[in-house]
Amino acid sequence: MKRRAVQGLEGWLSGELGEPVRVESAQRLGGAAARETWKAVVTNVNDGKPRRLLRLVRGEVSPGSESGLSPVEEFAVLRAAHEAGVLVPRPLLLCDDARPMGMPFFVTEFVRATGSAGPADRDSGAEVEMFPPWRTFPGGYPDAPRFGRELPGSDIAAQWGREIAKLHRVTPQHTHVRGMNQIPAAEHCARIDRFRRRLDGLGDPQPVLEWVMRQLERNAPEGVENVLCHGAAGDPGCVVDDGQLLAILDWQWSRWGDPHEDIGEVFAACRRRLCAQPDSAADAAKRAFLEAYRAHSRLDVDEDFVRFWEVMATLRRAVAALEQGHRFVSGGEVSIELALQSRRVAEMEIDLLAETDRLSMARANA
Amino acid sequence: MLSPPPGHELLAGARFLLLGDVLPDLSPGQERKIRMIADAMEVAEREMRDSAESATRELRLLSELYDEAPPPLLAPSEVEGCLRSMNARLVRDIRTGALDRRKAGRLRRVLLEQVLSRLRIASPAYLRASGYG
Repeated sequence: MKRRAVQGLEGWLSGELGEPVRVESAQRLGGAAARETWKAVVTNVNDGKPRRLLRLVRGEVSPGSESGLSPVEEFAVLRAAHEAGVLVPRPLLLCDDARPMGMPFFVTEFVRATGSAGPADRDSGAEVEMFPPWRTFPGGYPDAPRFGRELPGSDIAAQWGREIAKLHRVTPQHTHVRGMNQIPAAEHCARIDRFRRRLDGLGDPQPVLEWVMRQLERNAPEGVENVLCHGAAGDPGCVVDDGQLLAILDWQWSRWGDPHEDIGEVFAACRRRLCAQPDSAADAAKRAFLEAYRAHSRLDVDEDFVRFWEVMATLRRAVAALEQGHRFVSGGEVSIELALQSRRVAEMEIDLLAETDRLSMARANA
Repeated sequence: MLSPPPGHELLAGARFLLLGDVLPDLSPGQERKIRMIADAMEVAEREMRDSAESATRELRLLSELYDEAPPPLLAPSEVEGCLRSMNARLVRDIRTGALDRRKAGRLRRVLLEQVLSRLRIASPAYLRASGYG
């Protein structure tokens, strides 16, 4: 962090906390956060105590992202989620003024993971932000046996189901989030239109994905209550410690929407992995998630609606994987890993064909 | 006429050497990369061996879907362009719903065959795990 930004932060924090503080250190955190995230250690200038460990999030989401929240909106979501009892870092302060640090930012408590950090991290004493074990390649299927990816453990899946259920108690009438824009009822149509534009932009016709989009348009859920959704529930940034979910960190993709979307996202992330991972492991994780969700939710779960959103999530991954392949071909990004992901879109397509058949059949029988 | 061995067999040999002789001496981080490279070589190998036949089959299926005669024997360089144009037409027709009723069943079979064909090259293990192959 530049000296000027540190000075701006010190001045602003001192005013907000009512005590003169100094920023001892500010370390930019990696991981998958779509905007700048920092860990800052601050002390009281007068007595040098107490040390406070803060998490600071600033800036807009990554360029090219479609609908990420501003820091002000994300802070509102964090407060709403915190009040609903969801495991989040406690939201502390919001600065919607760009002057102190050049852009708006917010501050939360910093949640530490200690037990399950790798040996190097423990030795260095660093606080580690970890991700749940079902984290996947961007836009593609992980190759668990060969590349060391793991399926979601059922324990974590159950904890995640509980937290998502708590989140879905937040409705548009909630105090902190009332100002957030309402998503129009036909949002899924807009999303499909965006996928079409992205695919058309690649120049290679994709009849299977086009057929999937057609089926989604014809079998969309109707009459579902809007709640606060995580928006990236299949791939969340979390702090996990010794199998315990401590905090859900990133909320920039949150939006009002169909609660089945979050469940479908998780199910898509749990999809069966390449041969060596038996379907039963993914199924166990899905069952654990759903059981916990149902136990803590006031909402009914319609499994056909979940399937709709699971297909939508897999479709999104397929489109992203094809884009990665095109970046490889155009020389933009020479990564064999990304190129292989693009070739494996067929794996998603075979699943999509089966799932959309079930979707159409369910609609026909309804 | 190229000298033997054909490209796909050359790739197979190189991959065999990579996995058998190079891989055992590497650190775990490098091992992952080498396995990825070997995977890429394996896909390329299958593609060099099977893609011509696969493209011909796809052209025939698409022609049947539209009740048209299959295109005349094409030079390898022309097959890709012909397939692209037929698939672009297919995408347009799916998008407008032109095939929703009259040819829905046949369309579904063509799409499945397209995916299976790609899976045979890109990921035969997933094909088997999905109950095909």
